[in-house]
Amino acid sequence: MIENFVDAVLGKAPPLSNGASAYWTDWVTEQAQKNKPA
Amino acid sequence: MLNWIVIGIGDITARRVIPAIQSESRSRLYGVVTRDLSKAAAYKVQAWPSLDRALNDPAIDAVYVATPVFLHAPQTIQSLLAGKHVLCEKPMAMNEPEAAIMLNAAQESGKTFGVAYYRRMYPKVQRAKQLLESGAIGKPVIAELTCHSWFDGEAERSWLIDPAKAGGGPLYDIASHRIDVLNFWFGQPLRVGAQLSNVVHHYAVEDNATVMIEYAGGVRGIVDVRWHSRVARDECRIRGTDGEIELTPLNGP
Repeated sequence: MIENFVDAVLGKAPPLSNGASAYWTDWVTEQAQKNKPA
Repeated sequence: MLNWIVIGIGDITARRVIPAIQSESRSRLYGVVTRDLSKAAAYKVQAWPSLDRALNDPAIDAVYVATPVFLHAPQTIQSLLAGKHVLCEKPMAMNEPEAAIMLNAAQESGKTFGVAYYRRMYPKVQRAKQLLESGAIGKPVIAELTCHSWFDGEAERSWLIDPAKAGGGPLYDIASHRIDVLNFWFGQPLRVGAQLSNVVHHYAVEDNATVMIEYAGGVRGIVDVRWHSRVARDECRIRGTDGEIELTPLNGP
């Protein structure tokens, strides 16, 4: 993970887990959380 | 050489993050931010009691945000606006609006922003994506991921059962990794259904969650996570019209 991130900072590879991909993961979590009983 | 600082010295930071930075040839652990400065002594690097003070140091290139979830958004945004690259622990944020603000801050800063959903980097998960794309199991129709364990909110990780700090229970802590793997394989999620409840542990956060996600083409993902099972499970499989890919245990070779 650290190696991939450093590659991304140095412009050698795209980050495999970036903010845009993580946004959709958190979007799913948010949708699921709405089903928590009060 | 990339100068890293790490915010928060907890179990995962000490066992995984700091050793990973120290062993990466282009990286250097430059400092740590922790309220308890005695925790920093073992690393023999600079230590600051607050992020405000650390970010004044222009030698810092990258920040690893390893604090409880409620601090991810403010610390990530502050670091990006200070011109630092940021790698943030998962989940990204307490909720979707926070995540959107973080994403905007990253885009405006022009800095690299990553989130530690590292399971998509596992060679077996990458290989499964290749197999899916090659049609090895025909049309994928369902993927099932299960993670069951016993967690009673003990000791250093007790913040995980505080919804104000963690956002949620196993949905946030362990389902998020598996949801991310599903998104990696199948793309942008379209619809989500879920059931959350407290069956054994009556915490302020759920002790189990079952999430069903629908993707383009009709493929479904099901993630079931539980903190109330003394039988540990870490199952993962993808079923298609012509075969299946078995990846159990997800956290293993």
